[in-house]
Amino acid sequence: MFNYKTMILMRTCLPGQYNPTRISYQWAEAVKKDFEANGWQVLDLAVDDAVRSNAEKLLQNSESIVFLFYGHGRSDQMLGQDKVALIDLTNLNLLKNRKAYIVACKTAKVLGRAAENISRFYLGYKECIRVYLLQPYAACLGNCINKGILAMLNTPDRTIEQARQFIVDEYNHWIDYYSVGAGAFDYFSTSFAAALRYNRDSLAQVFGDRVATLTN
Amino acid sequence: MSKGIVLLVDDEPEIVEQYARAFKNEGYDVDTAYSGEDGWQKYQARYYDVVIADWRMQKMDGLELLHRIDQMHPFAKVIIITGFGDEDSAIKAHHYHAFDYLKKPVGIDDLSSKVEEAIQRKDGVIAAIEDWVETHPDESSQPIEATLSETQESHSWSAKEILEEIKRNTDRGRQEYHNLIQLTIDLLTRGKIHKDV
Repeated sequence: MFNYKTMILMRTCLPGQYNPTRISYQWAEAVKKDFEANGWQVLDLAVDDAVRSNAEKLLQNSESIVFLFYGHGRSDQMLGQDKVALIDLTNLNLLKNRKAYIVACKTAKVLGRAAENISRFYLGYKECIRVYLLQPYAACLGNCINKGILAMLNTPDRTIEQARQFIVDEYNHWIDYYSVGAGAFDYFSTSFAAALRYNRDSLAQVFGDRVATLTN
Repeated sequence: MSKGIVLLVDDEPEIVEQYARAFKNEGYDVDTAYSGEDGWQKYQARYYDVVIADWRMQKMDGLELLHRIDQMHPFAKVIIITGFGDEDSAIKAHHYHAFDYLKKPVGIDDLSSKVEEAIQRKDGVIAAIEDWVETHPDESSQPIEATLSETQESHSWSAKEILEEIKRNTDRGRQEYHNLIQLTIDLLTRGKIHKDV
């Protein structure tokens, strides 16, 4: 029996002042707070706890159906803090019937496709996620990245397909703002808009049940 | 501020020195090479706004150099100078996208105005980023971008580094250039900008 108001969150934060996981870790933190504020329990494997053995143990023993990952990725792996795969094709079955929202490079290419008939749904990126390290760009990108999952959290009957469209719309809003809108004023803003466009198009189609909601 | 970076390639040192002096006096940053091979080595190591190459050189001639540059950097501006001036040479130079083809003797004024013309037609994207990098030296040296790809995690990029990658036509440079062009196409497609603006 699955617990419908428990979410599993796995997030890495690698050393190095300019490592993009320092930014993605903060995006994950924001999501965690919103889930908790909405009465959800969050099972959080963060930093050194985000390693394969812990991930497998938690997924085997938890009844949570919602799974979020923030960190480095490859087409066939989500990487843990120790750079060893947390999830790959050999333990993907641990995401069976789960709803996966994955913030990492390229995982939709292989893992997402493979999860199509395993997970309830899988939403991730098929190419890289280009992360801007400076503020306010990093926070703005976080808004785009988190838009879908928060849209589902805040409106329980919103489907993952609708949530995906919310992400695309959010990207488009900020692409316009930083390229031809009030935020367009220098190379940073134009380059950031170009990165947002790239990330928007890296977002893969939903694999699995497109009309699934967060709790149904 | 330099008017542009010019590479002079000729196996006759006195001609190279004469042109080099003239272009330096006009405010260009000038590199010289005394063979096609030397020119090719220098081209691969640095971005040049214009390359001036003599057609006739030992081993690697101007045509071969032009061909290699064209393959590496299709938008490069290469001016070929030859003492032979036959039509076949001009056709070959055109085929490899030479910016122009000048027959000897070439006066420094003619060559200078041709270089200026080439600089004027500089790639708009490169020119815009260059301008910004020059006017924002601190910001442009700051790392701004990285990816959530494990293979690229060790590197973050500053605007200055990205500009160099674009100029050198590396994979990363081509990707950035492509993304900037794709942004324009995206805005056109979604009606956010118009062709006549």
